[in-house]
Amino acid sequence: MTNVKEHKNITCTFCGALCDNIEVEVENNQIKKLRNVCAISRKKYEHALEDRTVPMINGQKSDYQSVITKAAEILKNSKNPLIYGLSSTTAEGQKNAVKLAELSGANIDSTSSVCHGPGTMAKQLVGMVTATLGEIKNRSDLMLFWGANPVEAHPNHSKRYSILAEGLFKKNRSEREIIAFDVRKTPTAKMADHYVELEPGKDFELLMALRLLINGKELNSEKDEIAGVKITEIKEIAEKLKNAKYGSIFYGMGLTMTGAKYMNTWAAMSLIRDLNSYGRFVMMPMRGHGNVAGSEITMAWQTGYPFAVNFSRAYPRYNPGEYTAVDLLANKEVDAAFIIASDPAANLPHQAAAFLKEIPTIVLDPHWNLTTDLADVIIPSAIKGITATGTVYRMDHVPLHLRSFLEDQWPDDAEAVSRIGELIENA
Amino acid sequence: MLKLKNALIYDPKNNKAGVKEDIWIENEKIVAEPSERKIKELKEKDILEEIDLENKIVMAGGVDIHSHIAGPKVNSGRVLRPEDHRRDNVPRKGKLRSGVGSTVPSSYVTGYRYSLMGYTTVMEAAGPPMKAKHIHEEFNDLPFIDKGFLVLSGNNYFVLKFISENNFTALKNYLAWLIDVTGAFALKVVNPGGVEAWKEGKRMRGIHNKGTSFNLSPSEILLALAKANDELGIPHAIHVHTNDLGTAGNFKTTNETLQLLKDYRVHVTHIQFSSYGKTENDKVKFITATDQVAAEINRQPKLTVDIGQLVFGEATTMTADGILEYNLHKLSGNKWVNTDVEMETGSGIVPMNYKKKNLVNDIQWATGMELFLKIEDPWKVFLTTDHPNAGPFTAYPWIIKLLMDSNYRNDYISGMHKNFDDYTDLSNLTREYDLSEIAVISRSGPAKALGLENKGHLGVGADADITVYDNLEKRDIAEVFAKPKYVFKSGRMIVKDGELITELQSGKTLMTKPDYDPQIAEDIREEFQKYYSISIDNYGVTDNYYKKVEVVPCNFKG
Amino acid sequence: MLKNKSFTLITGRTIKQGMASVSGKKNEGYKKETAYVEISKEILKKYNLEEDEKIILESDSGQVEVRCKGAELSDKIVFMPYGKTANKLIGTDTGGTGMPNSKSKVVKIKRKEEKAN
Repeated sequence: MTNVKEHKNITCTFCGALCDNIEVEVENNQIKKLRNVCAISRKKYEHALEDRTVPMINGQKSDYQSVITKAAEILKNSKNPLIYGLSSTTAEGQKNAVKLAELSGANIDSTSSVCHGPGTMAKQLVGMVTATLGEIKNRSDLMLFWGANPVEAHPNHSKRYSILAEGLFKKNRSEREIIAFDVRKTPTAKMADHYVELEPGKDFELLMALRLLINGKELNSEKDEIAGVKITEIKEIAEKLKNAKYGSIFYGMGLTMTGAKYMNTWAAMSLIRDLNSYGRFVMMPMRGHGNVAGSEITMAWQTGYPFAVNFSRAYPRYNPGEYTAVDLLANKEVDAAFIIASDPAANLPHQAAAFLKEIPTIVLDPHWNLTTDLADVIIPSAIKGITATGTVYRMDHVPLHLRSFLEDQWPDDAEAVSRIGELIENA
Repeated sequence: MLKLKNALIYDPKNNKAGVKEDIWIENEKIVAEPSERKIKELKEKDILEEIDLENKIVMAGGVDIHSHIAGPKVNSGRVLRPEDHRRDNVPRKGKLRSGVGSTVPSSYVTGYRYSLMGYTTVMEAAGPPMKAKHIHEEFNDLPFIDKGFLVLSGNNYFVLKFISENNFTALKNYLAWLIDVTGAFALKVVNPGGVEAWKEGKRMRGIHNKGTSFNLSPSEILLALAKANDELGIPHAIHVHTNDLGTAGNFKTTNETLQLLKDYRVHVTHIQFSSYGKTENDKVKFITATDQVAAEINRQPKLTVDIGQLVFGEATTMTADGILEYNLHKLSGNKWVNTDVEMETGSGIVPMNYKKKNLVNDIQWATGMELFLKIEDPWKVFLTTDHPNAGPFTAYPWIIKLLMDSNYRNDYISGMHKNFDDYTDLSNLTREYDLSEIAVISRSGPAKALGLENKGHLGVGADADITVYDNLEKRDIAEVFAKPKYVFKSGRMIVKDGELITELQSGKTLMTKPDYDPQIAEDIREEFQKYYSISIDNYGVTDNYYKKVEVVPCNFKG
Repeated sequence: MLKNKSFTLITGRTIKQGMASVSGKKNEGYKKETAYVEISKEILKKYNLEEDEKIILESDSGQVEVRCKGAELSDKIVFMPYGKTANKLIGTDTGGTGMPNSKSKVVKIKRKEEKAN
């Protein structure tokens, strides 16, 4: 007897856009049909039940309870462990990870530190004028994409929330003007009305030039250009910004990863702030991982700080550049690592990730990845939004509850982390 | 069973002021004194615990009617201000989680500090419906206290639409649905119409002008919401943050609002920020207008207010009133967060430092104090700092001292700006609150206004949320109220000798469930699916977010 | 001379890299989609580099061997999908921010086999 079940309004957890309109048809614990998925999402669902991890200790197959016990032992015996990742687990998993960090006197950092963390640091300096995605869809008459390429990183973003979306006051593409700022003509830039190509690493200069103009100051440049953009063009852009009724800027790693790091975002935030003296203007970090926003949110309500937290003194301390994963690993300051739902061996600078080979490393992940290759302990896990429930926060901090629609043999991240915590707490 | 004996009971609801009596507690509730036979039996079985409270002041646990303690805006304030936390670290102790404090403490520390101060119920002041899950997630990490949240509804698309269409039935159904699916306690109305105007890039003044794409005046919105709220029987009044809040001369708008709504239940929150006069030809501009506002409050039988008393020092302003925070940013130059929430509301955050040498801050401080002293009936006025807007809730004991001790108050005023008396008349006010009045403004009054029949008093059937203070003889009033001797929550001791017992305990989430026709969700579906960015089927808060719930009945009858 | 010319290495997302990353990180697809470099077509032409030719990219943190692809790019930058290969070049300096130079690393191109310019 076949038993086909339809699930509607499923949330895809791949990227920070968290599309919640996925439709899935399930038969015999297999996905039969998918609707409303993007190219990446489709692959994610199709591959969900493949390449699954199993409990392993030092390269030998083990059982679930043993890997949990071993993980607790490693963290307990460590003097300065690192708990890292978090952006692809649920808020429930993240909360338990913060508690575990507290119990084990650990450093805890999320992939935010190599993503939009610098933007959060900038927010701590100037604040940020933002809005939920629906607000931008409904109102924004001028949309800027700065160092952001959602067509490839958040494929359904333009359709659901921005360029092509149907909004309450702005009904379609023709009612919006789009400008893309980038160092290369990305597929997103190709969708824009205007593409502004900057010299690499000159975002700060261009942002400050715009800021000077909108604050009524003069621009001077011997070459008659700033950041590779003609002064006349900068002036035209400044006028467009000033005349927007409800402008918006989606910014990506093009701001946070280039030379000036958080100062780029500082300049963007200051510009957007100042623009609110004309019309309204808001900005949105294009958060990459599905629940990276959640990692900052949950850490903040528990510790007061968004990432880069250290518990060696039994209370939380915060210092990006010191308690951030790349620095802790590169400086060889930590003596054990617990990687939760992340793949630092693929995504962190090689010399930082390589240090994981030298210290006891635990990986909690549903799938094999490059970091599981160098882990001492591997804890399998259910897949959030597919075989596990939980909470995720979209790039604009809108929370969504995940339902599960397939069966799994492994407990979810939250439970694994909580069990390890209990072993340490009750030891 | 627990017996608190020889307590000096201050229980204004039950007309007890310093009456020496015993309190009996069983199963989280205050119960009648058992029969002698039962007492004998309890003693024989050794299950009667007795605590002698000879010479101690006993009140119901504190109830805060308006405080920003959880949710997206509060949390954004935490992230915004690492400098707020760094010098206020709370290490892990026993099973008590660590955290940080200062004006926007972490969730655990918020629970600790309310408990340490003898407060056991707190109402989160403003929640955007779309992010309600976040509020409930934080509630589950906010220990000890009972809490609920007020759901923002004064600039909501469907609210404005139904009012503009004169569809009152749909409005009522929608509001009840909104409270139900978000797990809210009551309705919050912030700068009605004015936040939508801010999102449209417009400015509104007063309550009579129409100004947004909905073509509604604030007064039309206020009237419809007050009427709907009364008809739904929600235990609490509409909880109003007035239009023009924070601006010089706004007392006129405030009094117009109070008069407009005189036939309905209304609670006006942090009214200190809404009671300013305006001095022309004077660069200070601000002057207190407490005579006018207090007179209107004294005249109206149904009205309640809380003060939002200013406290000198660090504060973090945060409100759904987006335009207000923009103005504060322009005024102070301080960092500024704004978050517009689609279809529902706005919000903003700006850190502030209120200074005694700043005359405007002095006037704001005096405005709050004058209102406390000029509103005659303490059942109409409640103690708040609009935490963390006008100051942190941890300043309540200091405010109590200012209210109870006019000598201390006058000494304090002597340190104010030299022109203080030109703009205020606080120096002329000699009233002092007594302990019963303090009990009213800090627990009995707010509990009554919220419609929490089991809270704010010590009668039989009340929740066993009880605070025990040292008596005031030869003690500093602020010290006494800052460090209760014992605090009991749901019948269990959580604070002893000014320290938390090192076990975590979860409080309840307070909700209401007004009746509605579920068809409303279908009626709004099409527009919701188009103009929200999430599906209506993913909008509501699901049961997994609720740990311990108490549904307060909607039995108000007009 | 090619060896004297510096480029800013921009690492970033591509749709194929995204698709491959959720289709098994250990699969060939992921390796393939993260182990090439996009270079301006003019630069390829100018320095006589061929499409799909294996070249060596070098920074002060390491070097990798990757295939080159011609692209519409400024001659100041080269682009690589982010992943393990690109991360060999990035280095661990975060300037006290936690963030490495993932879009600001200076790299040079070396030919695998020396041939005439």
